[in-house]
Amino acid sequence: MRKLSYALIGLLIVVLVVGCAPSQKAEDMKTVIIGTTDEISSLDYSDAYAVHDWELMRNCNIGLTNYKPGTAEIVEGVADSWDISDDGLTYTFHLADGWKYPDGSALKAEDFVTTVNRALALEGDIHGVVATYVASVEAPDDKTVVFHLVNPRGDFPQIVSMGPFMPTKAGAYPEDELNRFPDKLVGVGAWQITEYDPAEQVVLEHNPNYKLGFSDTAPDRVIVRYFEDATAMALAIENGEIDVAWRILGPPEVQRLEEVDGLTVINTGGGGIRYLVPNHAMAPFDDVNVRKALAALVDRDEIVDRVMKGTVDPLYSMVPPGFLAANEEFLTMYNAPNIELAEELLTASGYSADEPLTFDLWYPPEHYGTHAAQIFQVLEEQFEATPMIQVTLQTQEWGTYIHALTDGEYPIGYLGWFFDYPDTSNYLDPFADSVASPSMGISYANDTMDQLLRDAGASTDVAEREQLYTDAQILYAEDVVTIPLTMEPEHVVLIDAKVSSVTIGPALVFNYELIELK
Amino acid sequence: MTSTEQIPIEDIPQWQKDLDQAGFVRRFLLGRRWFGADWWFAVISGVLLIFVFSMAIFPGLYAPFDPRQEVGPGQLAPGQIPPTFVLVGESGGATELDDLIGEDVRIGIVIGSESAQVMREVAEQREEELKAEGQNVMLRPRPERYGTIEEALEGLSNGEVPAVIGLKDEIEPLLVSYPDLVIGEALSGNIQKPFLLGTNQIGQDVLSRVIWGTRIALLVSFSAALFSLFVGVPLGLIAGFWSGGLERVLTLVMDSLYSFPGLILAIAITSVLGPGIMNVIVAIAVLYVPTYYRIVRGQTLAVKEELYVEAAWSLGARPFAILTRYIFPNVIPSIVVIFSVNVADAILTEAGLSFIGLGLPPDTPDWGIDLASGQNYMRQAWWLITFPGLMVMFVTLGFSMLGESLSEILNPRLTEN
Amino acid sequence: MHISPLTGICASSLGVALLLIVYAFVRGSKGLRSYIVTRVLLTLPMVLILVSVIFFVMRVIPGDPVTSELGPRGTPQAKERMREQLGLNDPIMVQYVKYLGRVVRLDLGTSLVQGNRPIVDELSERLPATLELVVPAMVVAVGFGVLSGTFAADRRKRPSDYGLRLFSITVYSMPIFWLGLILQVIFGVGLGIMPVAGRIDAIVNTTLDRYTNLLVVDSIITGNWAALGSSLHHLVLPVLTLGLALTGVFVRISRINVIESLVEDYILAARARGIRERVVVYRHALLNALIPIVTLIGLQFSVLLAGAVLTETTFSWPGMGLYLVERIGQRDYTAVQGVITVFAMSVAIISLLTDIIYAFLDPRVRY
Repeated sequence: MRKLSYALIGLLIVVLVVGCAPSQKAEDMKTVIIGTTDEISSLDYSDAYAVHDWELMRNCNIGLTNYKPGTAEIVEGVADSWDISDDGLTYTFHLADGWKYPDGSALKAEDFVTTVNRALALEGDIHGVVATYVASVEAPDDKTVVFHLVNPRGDFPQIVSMGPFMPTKAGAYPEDELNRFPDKLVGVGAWQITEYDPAEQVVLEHNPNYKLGFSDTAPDRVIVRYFEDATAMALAIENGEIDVAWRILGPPEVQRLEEVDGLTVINTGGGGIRYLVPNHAMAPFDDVNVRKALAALVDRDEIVDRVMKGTVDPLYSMVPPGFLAANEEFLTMYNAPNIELAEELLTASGYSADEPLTFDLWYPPEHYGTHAAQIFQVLEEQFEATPMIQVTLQTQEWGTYIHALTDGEYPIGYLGWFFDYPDTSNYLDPFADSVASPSMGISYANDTMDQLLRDAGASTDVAEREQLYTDAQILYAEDVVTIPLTMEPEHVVLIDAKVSSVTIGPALVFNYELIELK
Repeated sequence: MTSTEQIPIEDIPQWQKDLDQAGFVRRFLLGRRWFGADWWFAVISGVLLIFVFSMAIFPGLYAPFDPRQEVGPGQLAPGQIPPTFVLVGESGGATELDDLIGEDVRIGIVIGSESAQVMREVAEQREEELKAEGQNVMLRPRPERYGTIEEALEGLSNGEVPAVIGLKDEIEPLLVSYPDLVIGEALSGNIQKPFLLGTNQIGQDVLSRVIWGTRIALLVSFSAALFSLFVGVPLGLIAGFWSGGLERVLTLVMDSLYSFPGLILAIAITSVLGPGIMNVIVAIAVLYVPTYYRIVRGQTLAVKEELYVEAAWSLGARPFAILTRYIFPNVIPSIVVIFSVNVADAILTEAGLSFIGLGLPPDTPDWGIDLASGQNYMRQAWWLITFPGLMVMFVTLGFSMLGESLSEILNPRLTEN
Repeated sequence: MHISPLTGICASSLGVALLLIVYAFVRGSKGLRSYIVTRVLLTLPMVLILVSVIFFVMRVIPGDPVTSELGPRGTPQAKERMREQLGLNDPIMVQYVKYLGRVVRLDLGTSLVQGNRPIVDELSERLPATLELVVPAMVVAVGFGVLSGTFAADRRKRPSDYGLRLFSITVYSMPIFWLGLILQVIFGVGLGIMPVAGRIDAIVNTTLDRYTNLLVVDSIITGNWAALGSSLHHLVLPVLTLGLALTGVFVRISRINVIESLVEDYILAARARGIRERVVVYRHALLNALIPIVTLIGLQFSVLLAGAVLTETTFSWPGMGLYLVERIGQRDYTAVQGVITVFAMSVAIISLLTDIIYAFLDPRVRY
């Protein structure tokens, strides 16, 4: 017994000594560890349709066009020029020389055809998006890619920067099925992924043949580490276990980390918005006055300051600031909180304090973070600022909620939206276009609106698009298609001692090779 | 398992023989002599639990505020007095609230601070006062958000905003560098006294929420434990009394459920049923049915072989009478112990379910929910996870201590010479 | 054929179980043999019952997994295709039979969210992490619990006995995640001496070749001492959290059993022979009391798995518990069903093993 206990104590000491000794290992590589609460869903270019998957893909690969680092401006990617046919239906891209895969093989036009054709044929998650735009694609020679579109799209150069329009190296994926977890992810971009464990981490190493090269301050290696939640990630960066904390930090974490010495918190802007979804096909929200009354009562500032502690921004149009033609039509038109206006509108529709407007307001309790409950308590107070309204808050767990909401079973609900590609059209079409609107649980239909949106989508003239989208937003606010509430900027946190700066643009493209180390 | 050896009659001490003669209260008091600290464990936990019960039944008597009402500034530390906010304007400019009447007036605030909420509250109040005086005016300034108070004051002196609202203590020392700025009207929120356990992120009183949480915790755990008692005990009695094929199947099912990790089963059930108080009660209740079943069945099996049961049979008693009159009383002590332990366990399970987001609706004043939402704030507001956690611990401790000392007291195998 | 760690672990644990059973069978008495046969035969319906309960509970889903997965962007055709792929269009009994068939082949279906990955592959990555957490936690709980329980029994009704009992109830009464959070704040960010998340340092991780995905084992067999240090370092807080929470039960049970065996005749005999009291208590009485403790280890294993769910969530420990919580959040029903099925099977096997070991060790068990 005694020997056993000595042995146990000895073992314990060994464990503690080995465990607590700083793990010294000769590390010549400059490594950056980026934490995230996202996760990998698919690493197949012809399938992936998620923010984080695309972030990894954009770092390992480059499309025909690309975002200028740190901006939402579209510049040439691996194509150095492109032509548009007169009817706007055919785009011809000309590839530049010198783009190579990590194994040294050169980029071919055929590689783009492979990805798009697989996306069209294999019906992965991205299938619908590609099929909406592209009728067919061909590669007449090694340096030319030709797209034939379904409808004219002025923003097609933006669209081809997305995941399913990136080149796939011949033989990297099977032809007739998706491979969401290939052994490695390669492309002509700065990085390549040769080892990863979706539950723990992804290691990105240099593409030795990257055309644009690396600066001296760039990291030699990037490790992306996955966390269960924002709290754990915030503790980890505070404890120095990661160098960069990236999506998605919540308001309390941002608030806290801003106070910690040695950390820098950067608001990178971003495209996530939150809005109320009135059901135009159901009473009482088939009445435009009722929708307007709510728009006049919502005090976005109170949600921002009181519940979200200033970590989100008020949103007065579905199109967030920074995008083409974005305005603040809901502010200028309703000047909320405007109880007098709301009461006027409600009186006109026959409501009074004795016969108040009553409705159920639905939200999912968990899906949008722990703050949802508080946001809705505040909203309830705001609506009930007039005795003419009585709100009943209703919650439903997400799986059922999203089903019922999009099937039009709720009078009014709450949803978030994140762009597929950063363009104004992506903030208006899904809600206001009469074809798309019913599937979002809105069921709005207006011929003028449809015309405005379609003209704007086809146009390649910036000034013309701007005018059309301005008109569309005015009409949107007049009809109160939905009620925009807040915009959720993303935050990135850096450890000062190690990282000097990162480059993240409004399109939320994080170029790892542009990280500057101390 | 092992058979209990019979204690020879002469070994039973005199006090225990006395005990059998005494009434319940006397027996209880006499117990102190023999059971020592276990008796005290039981009494202390009993007193603790009576206090907890009174909180659960009359939370309004203990709690100073409504648990759902926002009564003060957010994230106020325990005992901290709500700070004073002031309006700062250019001398000769806006120094009073009334100077800010009009549409589209903007006031500078520090992002994420309480200033915006203070501004909103006092503006609303003032507007109503003016309305009562017959002046129908618009006093709804909008916040202009600045990163720091210095930036806000800079913005004010540049004329970007007519006024800034901020903490008096922070602004005063800074005014040296802004000679043209003056401190105007002092603005305060509704409450100027400290909160005993602080406030949470949206200004609800932590003490009140912790007290009201007692009601939810006891409601859930008692309902669940009672529910499984009413299902498990009769099943156990019947299964122990009439053995047969059905009983074997039932025992197998119960054994399987018993061996399965409780919380994981509850997770599976609530993930399907969704959050909600009834769903949580059902999910937890299912976990404990096998516990009652197994113990009661085992004891029934043992007791029905006893001589006095045989005697009752031979006297022509009916099965139901034997079951209720001769067997059931024997299992009561174990039921009491299990019940007490189950309540303790149910409180922990409920907190665990709420912690991973499968428990109660998110606005419920409940310890598990407060712990889950406070977890995000644990680095800047330690009191948000400390107090609900301590409450869970104390109440669970009360029930487990009661269960433990009762089982020590009631367990004849532990009486020694 | 490529052997995944999950099938490897299942096969090897089944192998060990089988060896043990065969050994007990050969060495045991006739009564023991028949007991083993009945017990093994009973395990099959037990697993069947658990698996069926899981299946039917999961099928009472109020939300539609297909819509919740595809969301508003899913087309009716895509939904129909997915429903077909998941076999949700079959009658429930057909689905049930198919499900049982798949479970027998250890085919748990494919994930609804992570790009149709086979659940078995995902669990292969997660199960070793859970084992690596649970086994040391059990060692801590048993080691510390049994020693202090014996100590308390030795000093029965003295202050140290009451102190230890109070301690055991207190640690039992703490919500395990709360304990974890407090340890994180104190030893992690507060003192800065312990990592708060994950299994191993991210950079060291890149140097480690994984074979079993049990990081301690992998780093020892590859001789990677930095990785061994880092993974042990990451183990300290989660193991302490989980182990401490379980200690209470072992303190209690060993105390009671040692007290019971202290009144046995052979203890009196030992004392009469003049053997020192400490030896009497810690050798004779404790050894005798160890038998019921072995059974308890089997039972507590399921408590430990439940605790692992919360511990893994608190420490971002990529094991099965965290996987379960993640997938519930994403409404990935096949994954949830798969994890719980694996939990059920491991619980059944462990309880079979402990029962047989118990029967083998303790001749008093009536078969």
